[in-house]
Amino acid sequence: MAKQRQRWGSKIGIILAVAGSAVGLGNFLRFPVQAAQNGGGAFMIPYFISFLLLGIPLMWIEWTAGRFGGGFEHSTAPGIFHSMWRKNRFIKYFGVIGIFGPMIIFIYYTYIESWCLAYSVFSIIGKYKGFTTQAGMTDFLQGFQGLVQNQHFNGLGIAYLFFVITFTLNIIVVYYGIKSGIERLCKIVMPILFVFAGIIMIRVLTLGAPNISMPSWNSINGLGFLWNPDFSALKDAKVWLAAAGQMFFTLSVGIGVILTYSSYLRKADDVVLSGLSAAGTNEFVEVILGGSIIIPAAFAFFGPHGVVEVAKGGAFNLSFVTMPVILGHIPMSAVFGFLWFGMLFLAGVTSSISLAQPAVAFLEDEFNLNRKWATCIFGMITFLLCQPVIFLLGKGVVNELDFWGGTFCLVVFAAVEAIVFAWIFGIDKAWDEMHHGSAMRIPRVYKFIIKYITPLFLLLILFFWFIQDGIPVIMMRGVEDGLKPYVLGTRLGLVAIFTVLCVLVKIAWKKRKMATYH
Amino acid sequence: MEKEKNGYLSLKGDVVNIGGWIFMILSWSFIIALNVFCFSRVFGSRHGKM
Repeated sequence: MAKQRQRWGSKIGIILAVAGSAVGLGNFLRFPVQAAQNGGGAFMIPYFISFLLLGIPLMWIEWTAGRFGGGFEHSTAPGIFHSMWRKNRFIKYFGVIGIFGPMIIFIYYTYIESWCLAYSVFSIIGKYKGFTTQAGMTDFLQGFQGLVQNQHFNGLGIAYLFFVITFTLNIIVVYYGIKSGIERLCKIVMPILFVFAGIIMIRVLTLGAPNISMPSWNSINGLGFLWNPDFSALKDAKVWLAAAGQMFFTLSVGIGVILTYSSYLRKADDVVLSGLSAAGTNEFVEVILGGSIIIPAAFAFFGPHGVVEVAKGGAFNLSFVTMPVILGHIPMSAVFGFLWFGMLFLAGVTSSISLAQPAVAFLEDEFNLNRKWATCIFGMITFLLCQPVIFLLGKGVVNELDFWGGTFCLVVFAAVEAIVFAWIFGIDKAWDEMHHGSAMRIPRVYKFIIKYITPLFLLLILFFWFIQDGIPVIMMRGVEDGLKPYVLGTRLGLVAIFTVLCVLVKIAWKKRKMATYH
Repeated sequence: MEKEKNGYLSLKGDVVNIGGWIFMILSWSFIIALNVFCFSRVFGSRHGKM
């Protein structure tokens, strides 16, 4: 007897699930730093152009392609691409990226997510209370990560415990399925995330001038650091690339996750308004909430010179070093520390469950496993794959996984996906498919944008990104000699995982063909 | 205005200038309007339920 396909319970459920997938640590950490580093307010010009020409079209493409593939009982990119391009025998192997990419990100993302959970607990119990300098907090973080042994931690035990809790929580949610697990969690967690972020934002913007001898060092003036435009930045191609890249990463497009989520829609369900709503929710969290917390707070405490150094230190430094120091200076620091790290944890968990779903769905659909077995198999495999991330932190493993799973695969996958959708599937058929059951009409100009502009934009990003970032990473420029064996080992591991997934696709299609024949 | 360059990670002054307020207000307004447009339709139509 055929299995009954899982479905979303409500429209707001899938919107919050997709928005939850998109809203992650990057909304609060990556965006403000990118904006500050790339021209402030002027950065928002290429940012919103990318939103209109890249983000929204890719959202609609993925929602539509996913729902279309779901009609053929496929929830993952190999099957969905095959449904759209039946004459091509190889496109399904290309679709493997849509399972491989999220799985690789899941491997390191859950570990980083577990740090947020740990730090939220540390805030409440006052474990890092009293660290008033960034050097002290850096020492605390490195002890927690097991990079050094110090008076705070004498090993990886605590970090490992929080990792196991976080990992198990993720697996339990996925185990309960789309409606009872993922949708239910997102409906609870997303409003809480908004409340936490709103409270922190209000607190930051009402900080005033903490240093009474420096009245201009206040959080409202800190907004100037993020928003005052530097128009000379617009002449620089790197700034445009950074804006397009930020748009890409923030919306969770090009990973394969939205394809999988939308495959659980019915043919008559809307994708146009839902896709736009999910994108809008993500932008609200990123620009309004994310842009009003970390940079203004750092400006108020460290001043204009200090915030330059802080922003240059990168996103993790901001989150786990700078922010605890800042929050330690304000009344009720334990509560605000809990809210900050709790918010990051909630943002992380709604993303990581979405990263787990494609691989689980692949096992369910293509190997006819029931959901519980598929989740258990996924859990066991990824738990083992997480171990190098934990025990080899600082050896370049996470950077490699992030480059291949979280960057390279995204850009390549999105470019091919857009071309297959607009050119192979055909823009007229695609346009009709998008509007099937839609709650609103898409402006006609988007037919032109989806066919020409978005694929061209993606190919340009791919080209410039490959020249600027891809080649140096592939050639291991800047990697210490001692770390090269770890980097090469990680690459071999990734090739092995990708190959296994390709073999699984081949076996699944062979089985499907045999079943059809009989 | 003091301006110390670190790429484009500049000081951009000690206060929010007119350009900063304009960009912030326009960006926030666009995003809020987009969300109001979307969610008023999501909750206000029969499409609110699957």
